[in-house]
Amino acid sequence: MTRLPGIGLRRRILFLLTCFFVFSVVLTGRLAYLQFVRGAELRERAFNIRTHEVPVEAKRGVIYDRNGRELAISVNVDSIFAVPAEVEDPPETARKLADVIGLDYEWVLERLTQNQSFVWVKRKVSDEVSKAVKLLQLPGIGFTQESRRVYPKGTLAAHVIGFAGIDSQGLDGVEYIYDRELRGSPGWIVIEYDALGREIPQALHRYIPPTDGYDLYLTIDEVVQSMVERELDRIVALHQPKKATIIVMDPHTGEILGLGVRPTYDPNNYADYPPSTWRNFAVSDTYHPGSTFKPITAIAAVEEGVVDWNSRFSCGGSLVVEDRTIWCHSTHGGLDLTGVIEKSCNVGFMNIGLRLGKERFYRYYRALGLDSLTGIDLPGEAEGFTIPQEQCRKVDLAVMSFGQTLAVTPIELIRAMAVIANGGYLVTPHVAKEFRDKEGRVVTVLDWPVGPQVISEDTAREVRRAMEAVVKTGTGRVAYMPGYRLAGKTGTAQKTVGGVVSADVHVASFCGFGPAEDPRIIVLVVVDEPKGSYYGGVVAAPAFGRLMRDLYRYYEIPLVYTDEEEPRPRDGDRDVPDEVTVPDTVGLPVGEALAALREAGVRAAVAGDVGGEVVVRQTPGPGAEVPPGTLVILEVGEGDLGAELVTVPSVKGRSVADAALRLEQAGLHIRVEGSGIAVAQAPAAGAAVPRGTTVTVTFEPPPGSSSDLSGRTGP
Amino acid sequence: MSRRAPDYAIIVCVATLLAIGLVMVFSSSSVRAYVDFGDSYYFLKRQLAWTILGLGAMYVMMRVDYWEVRRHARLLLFISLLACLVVLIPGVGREAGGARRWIGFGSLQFQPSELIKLTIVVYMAWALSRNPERIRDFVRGVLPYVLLMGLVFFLIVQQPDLGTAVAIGMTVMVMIFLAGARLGHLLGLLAAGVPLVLLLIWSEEYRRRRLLAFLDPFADPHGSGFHIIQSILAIGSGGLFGLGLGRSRQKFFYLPAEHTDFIFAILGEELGFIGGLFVISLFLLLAWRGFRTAMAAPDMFSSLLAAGVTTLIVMQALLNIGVVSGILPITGIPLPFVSFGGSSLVFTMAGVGMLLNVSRYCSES
Ligand SMILES: [Zn+2]
Repeated sequence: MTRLPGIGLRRRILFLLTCFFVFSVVLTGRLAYLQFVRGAELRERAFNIRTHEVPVEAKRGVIYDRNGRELAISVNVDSIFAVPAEVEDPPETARKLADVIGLDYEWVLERLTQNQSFVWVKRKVSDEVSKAVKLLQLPGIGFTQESRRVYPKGTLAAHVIGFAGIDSQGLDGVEYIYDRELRGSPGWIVIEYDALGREIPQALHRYIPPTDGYDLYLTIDEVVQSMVERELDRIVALHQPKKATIIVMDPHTGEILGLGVRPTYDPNNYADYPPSTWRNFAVSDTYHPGSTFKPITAIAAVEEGVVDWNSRFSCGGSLVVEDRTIWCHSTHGGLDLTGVIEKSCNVGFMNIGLRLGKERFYRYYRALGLDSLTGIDLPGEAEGFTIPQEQCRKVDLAVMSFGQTLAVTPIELIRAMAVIANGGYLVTPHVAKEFRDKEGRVVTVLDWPVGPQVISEDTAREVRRAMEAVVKTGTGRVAYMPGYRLAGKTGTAQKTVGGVVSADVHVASFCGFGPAEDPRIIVLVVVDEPKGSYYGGVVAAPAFGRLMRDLYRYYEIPLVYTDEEEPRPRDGDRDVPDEVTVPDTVGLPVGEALAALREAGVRAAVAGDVGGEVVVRQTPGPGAEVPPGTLVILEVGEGDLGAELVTVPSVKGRSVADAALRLEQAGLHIRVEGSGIAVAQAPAAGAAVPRGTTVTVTFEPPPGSSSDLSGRTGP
Repeated sequence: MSRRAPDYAIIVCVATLLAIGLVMVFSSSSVRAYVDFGDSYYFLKRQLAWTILGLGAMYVMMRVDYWEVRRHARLLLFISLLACLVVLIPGVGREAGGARRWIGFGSLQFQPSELIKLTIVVYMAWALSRNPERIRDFVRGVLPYVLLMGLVFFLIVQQPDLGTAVAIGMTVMVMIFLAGARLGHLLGLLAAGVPLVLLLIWSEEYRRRRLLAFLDPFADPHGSGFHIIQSILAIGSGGLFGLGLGRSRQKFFYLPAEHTDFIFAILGEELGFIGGLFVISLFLLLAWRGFRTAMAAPDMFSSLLAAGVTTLIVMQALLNIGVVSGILPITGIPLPFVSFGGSSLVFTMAGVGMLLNVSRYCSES
């Protein structure tokens, strides 16, 4: 029989209810503790367990030449990483990876078993390797895209561009100098995985996008750079120097248009080359400028008024300074200032230097920045040096006046010479022009200061005129080409080996610019320790000449012939007893070319493609008037044998520059008569003439205009 | 005796919990269901079927004359004990996850331990109300039930299903307590039982490690502490309002048994403190209404039956939440109405049906 529940039962039920209530409160408190007090920590912890951070490299900025041609680009490549906790069978996985990627098994296994959430297996692998690894479908092995630096032009401008390392960090060249701008800042992808190592759908949390680097536009012109590289290759082939450099610069702005160094390296595989090849001779090493320094002594003296262009100098072959006899390379006799420069007379320069005095010599030496950094935007720049002023004796001053005992960097010298070329201003040589973002908008235009005017316009012009004579009839004759109006100075310096001046080891150099009236390009060629011939006029000047010819064509600088340069000498006009005219051999088979040159009374040397049969270029150019026995270098290649005859294009109605360019492109030379617009030409358009023929074009001012459009016509 | 309407508060309470259960089973299991069965609704469909079956069982148990049930109390217990024995026979009991808990044919499987949860409550209510004075006598009134409990406990631990065994043991002890056993006897049992339980725990290395992991789960985060850490991380991630329904991250295979024993962790992660508090409140409300029914019940049997069923359900709920939140050792107890699981749901609903049945005979006071 049942009974009604008693009062005791009710009390015990109430007690139980109380117990449940109390325990519920405890549970609620526990929830609150977990969710409020430790909520943030636990959430973070849970998130970290579920996620792996994968770095996303910023896209490194592209390096372009001044015309937007790619010099350094970044391509996306896969990098392979492992999440060790998710690798199911480390030994098996390691074996497969080691096999496919070509790594050491032990090394891979060690990585896969590291107590880390993320390890790289192999970064920046090729497409084939990446595909092969993806096919294996290994748990715990993942891929991320990284960018790898590629230098599509190989060794071209290697010492300007430099290179970037595995983390896309700039290590040399502008890659290093402008690393911060090029690099951008990296981002992160935080990927959330389920416990079985699969990505949770739509769970891409915390994507921190990378900020891409800016694109860098250089002042370098790939076309000019190619010419520089070509000439350096030729110098290496002909002279096997220890090192060499060529710099091409705009003398007015300091923009470097081309800068090459030998020995060189391929930045794509920089690690495969000895680090010595990375060294940038042009900015990091000093050399003895020798005679290329002489114009600097000249401008100081002219500027200070210690000599003028009517001053007379006498060279007896040597000069005794203090108790030392210092020799000239010849006995020049009586010379005026132009003659001293033209003949590179050491005695003349010693006299000039001694007249100038120590104080003023050092003042100009410093003003022209020969003992200070140029500030070029390339790493590792060195400073030139010489005897300290207070220790400088009279004999030291005399020797320095013609460029001995001084040491300068190539970039310092070209900057000092640019002062002569640009009318007196000390520029800042530089290779970077501007930065642009990925949309092509200009972000920063780099500002390169043009320094103070250190010599007067007049002095600069006068020295240029003297330097033009050097190329025309002096030590730089090899580089002479009619119509080009080139100015320059050769340099041949003995090197000091172990503290002793060596008679066998030399630095040959040539620094020049053109056109002399209004220089647009300045070029320095330095060849350190050439084998065999070591004179600047032989080793460095031909490269200068060839470069200038190509640069004139490229920049459409018109050739301007003076009357005396007329390739077909008029009877009685000039007295040219000891000069011969270089025949045009371009397009001829090598044998015929050599015969033609021998007949003309000049020597010939062949360079260029092995197996080439046809002359594709010659230096000095056709029509040049040179001393008998001058060396003419023939470049041979696979030219078209039937191309000796070219068709004369019509230049009627064109400006001087335009007409010159068109004729150049056709392989013809121009002789300018008058100024303005072309109204007549001889030979006439359509005529078939030998390549290198000079076409006389008559210009007249256009109706309604009295200005001289060309501005560069000869006297 | 006049019949009144059943306690609607209990119905609302249970219906709400069932609804939460369906939602949470779907939310927590859809990933695993899709990966394992190719059907996100795999578990939801089954839970829905069990819910309908449970509602049927509840309705039946609410309608039948529960004094009739009382008459068969011994038979029901005997059948249950038999089932609990049979399930242990290899080849008969179906094994899953290292435990032999199910018997039946094809897809119609049930857990004898869930059956005996309910039948032992009915049996105890019958036995304790038969001669209320005998409870004062330890040997004749208490010891037989303790021994019965020991037998059931032993059988279920063999499956093994420690959680259910603990829930049954505690419910039986609570009923003995409610029936009026002397406190001295109970304390004596406690003094004897605790060392016994400790010995049981200590005797098996795996059990000891697993049971004690909750004290310092981070000591062995990849081993014994793994479940508890993942559970705590899930709850902790929830905050005040949770990540939002269906937004759990831990259900992506980090949290084991996410749709069964640890469903409350997903609930805490998705619905936050508010959701957890709501569920606890519902069980507390159920406790209050259930115990109120027991106190107003027409007789001792009805009273003990109502109190026993209520205790069984609420005790399991509190133990489950205690385990999931890391303040009790892991024993493997489902959260009533919410966790996925057919037998548990159907028998719990049948129990609720009896509770409601009793509530229809309650006195006004
Ligand atoms: Zn001399």
